[in-house]
Amino acid sequence: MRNGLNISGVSEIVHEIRENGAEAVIRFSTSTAVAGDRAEVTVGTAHHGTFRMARDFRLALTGAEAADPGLTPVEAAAAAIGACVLITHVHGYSARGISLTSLGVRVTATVPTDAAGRVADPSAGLRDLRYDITVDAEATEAALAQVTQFVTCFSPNHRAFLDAGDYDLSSVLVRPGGTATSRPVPVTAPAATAPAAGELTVVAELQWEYGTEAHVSTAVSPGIEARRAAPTLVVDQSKQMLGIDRGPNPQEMLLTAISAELALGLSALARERGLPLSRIEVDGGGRLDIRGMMNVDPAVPARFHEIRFVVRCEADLDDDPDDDKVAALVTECAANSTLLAVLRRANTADVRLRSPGAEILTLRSDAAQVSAFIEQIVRQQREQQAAAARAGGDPA
Amino acid sequence: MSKAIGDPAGPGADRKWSNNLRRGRVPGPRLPEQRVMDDDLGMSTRSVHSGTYIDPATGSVGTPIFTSSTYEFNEHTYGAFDQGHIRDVPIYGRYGTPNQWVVQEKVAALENAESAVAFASGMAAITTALLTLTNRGGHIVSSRDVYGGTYNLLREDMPQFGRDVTFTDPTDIREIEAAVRPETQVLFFETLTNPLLKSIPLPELGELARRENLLLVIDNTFLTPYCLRPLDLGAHVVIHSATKYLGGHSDLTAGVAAGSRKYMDRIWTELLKLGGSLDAFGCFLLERGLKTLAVRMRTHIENANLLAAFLNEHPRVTAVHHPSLSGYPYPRLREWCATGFGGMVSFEVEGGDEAALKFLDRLTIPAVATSLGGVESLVSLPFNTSHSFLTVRQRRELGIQPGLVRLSVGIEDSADLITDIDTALTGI
Ligand SMILES: Cc1ncc(COP(=O)(O)O)c(C=O)c1O
Repeated sequence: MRNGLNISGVSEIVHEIRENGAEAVIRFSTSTAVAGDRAEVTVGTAHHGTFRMARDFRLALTGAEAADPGLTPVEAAAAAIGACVLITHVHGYSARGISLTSLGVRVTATVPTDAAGRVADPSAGLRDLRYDITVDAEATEAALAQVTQFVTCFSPNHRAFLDAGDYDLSSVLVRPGGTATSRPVPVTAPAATAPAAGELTVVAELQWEYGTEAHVSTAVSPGIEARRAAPTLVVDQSKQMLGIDRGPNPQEMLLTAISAELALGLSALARERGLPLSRIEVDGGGRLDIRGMMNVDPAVPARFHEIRFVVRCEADLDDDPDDDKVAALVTECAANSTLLAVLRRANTADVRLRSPGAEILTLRSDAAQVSAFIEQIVRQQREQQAAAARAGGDPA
Repeated sequence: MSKAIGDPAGPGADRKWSNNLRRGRVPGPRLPEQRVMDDDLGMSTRSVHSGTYIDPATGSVGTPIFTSSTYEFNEHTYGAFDQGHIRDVPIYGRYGTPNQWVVQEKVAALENAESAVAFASGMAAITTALLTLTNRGGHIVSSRDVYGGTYNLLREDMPQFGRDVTFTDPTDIREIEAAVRPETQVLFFETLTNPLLKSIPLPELGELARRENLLLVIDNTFLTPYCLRPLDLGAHVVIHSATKYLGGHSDLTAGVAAGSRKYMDRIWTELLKLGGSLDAFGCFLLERGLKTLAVRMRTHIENANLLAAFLNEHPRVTAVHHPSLSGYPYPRLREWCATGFGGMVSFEVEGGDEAALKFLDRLTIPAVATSLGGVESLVSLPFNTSHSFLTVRQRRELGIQPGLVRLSVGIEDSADLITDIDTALTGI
């Protein structure tokens, strides 16, 4: 046990998944329904290899313009990325024998807005993303810096943010009789909708509690801060993933953020266009292969991937063109989505690591930085193995 | 204390994170002084020898009782604390002691399992295993035919812990399949139900669990590994009230869970918190009892088969429930239970519960008591004991008719048991 993590458990999982890759695959899911101006998200049962992890979490998200604003999708996304960065750090420290006193991650990003304060350029995704990491631990600066570099390569949500990726989106129209028709929605590059006049700043402030549990407070400014109590979230892993089930995990938070953005966006768009959708639901899902995350198999992606959404609308519409209308609306809504753009684009993040007494590291995390660091690790591993073989020892 | 076998160095100062996590799962926990028998040896050989601790100082052929509740720290203990593998080093009574490891090794060998955990009762094993293998918000599919204590846990407490439970007919795979929900995590059943000895479709349950990523937890108390090894048929965890056949002498309350090291480690972690660990004397009694499991079970089975056949012909008996009889409704059990069906027989006495009560009064050999699986025959009526918490209608629904007698056939001479029962029945 170190930092509240069962590190023997981590090691055993690594061995198990090396021999049996099927146990490494985890599928997360959320289901979201629009109720008034809220998107109510229920985290679904996750499948981890050959067993299931039941989940018991519900979150309500709103847009920034809601009368009684709550957590907004961009805040949830910042929390999801930050939580993953934080938990991956805890794993890294624990495996290296570094005991933590405290760990905080502050995630900030901006979103360009038009003169009316609405998102001006969804294609930009989240801009100016940065992590300010503050660690208090007994370890050399070099060791602390190395863990952060590892995290930039292996944190699944950070990599989902960093890498150009794709997602799968389809729309389903359900009619009163229960008949449903499904359409795939093309992944389209969003376009700027209006000239940028200002920007929203999103902040997620994460504090490590113990183990994989982190407490998160978030903010968006300017605009809604004065109108609400700052929401506090708890993010944690399931007990099967060495947490204690205190909250949704970072991948579930990411699905929550994107599903809510889609659901709220579609609801607003349908209202604007006068399309009478009586029910809007979004099912989200994604896949994690922890062989990639733990660098067990270089061919496996470290990032959270195979992200997919099914948007389901109920409407009292009957003829074929209405299917097209709904699919077109979902397509437009996807094109207006800041968070889907994040998944699609290659992004960069500025990382700054500090301890109470010192600046330890600043780096710009992007595809080139990640591949250079991974190459360096692989080279070191080969050298270690060769040295061990020369010494007649058991190569690690 | 010497170094435990399951104590390979974990990741450490000189071992870097990436690709260097050195510790995989190992069988055990066990000490180097413990005997590990080959898998291809027979039941009796394994039950006598597996796990025995051979004391290096004295050469004693049996395991000594280590009454100590705590163990001196050394580099291995410190290493285990540092690296997290504290299940593999003797530290503290509740965490794991040589006597627990001995008896766990024996049960694991008998159930073809990698690892086992000993508990202070069968209920401690069940509670701990079910809470371990589910999360808040999860769902368990089980049956109303399970042991009453288990039923109460499932009905009264699991929902309070945030685990929902659906009770199904345990013989009906369709009904069980239909009860599975997205959040279902565990299927929990007994290999042979109490008191009617209904058999569950075990291979199909194993297949369902595999297909749906569910964990199949099987209470094998009634059949014991001598008759059936559920892990071979797809179960993930097998549980016993070791109070019964495994202990075998009605002088011990204990439980065990067995399965892969992965699930046993998780169950053990929960045991540390819930606290139902088995003390050294209990372990010793269980180890001693297990040594004769095979020889006892052979006699239990033989006696039960003879009594079932005898009762089936008796004019005062209106029905007999036993897998050896031709009318047994679940004949497929014989496909996976080749060595017999344990020592339980239940039957209905003409004249209902009143007649059954008279019958008990007239018996001279079997003791009228609850429980089962001891060397002595025990007899009881479900209506006023194990199933008294059910309404008359609920009992009917389960198939419990007035006059039902539950007999745990002991290892006495079968002729004496038959004479005694015949006399008691005839005189009602
Ligand atoms: C099938 C079965 N499982 C579990 C138990 C509970 O075991 P214990 O009494 O050892 O707690 C019993 C006890 O009667 C039982 O018959």
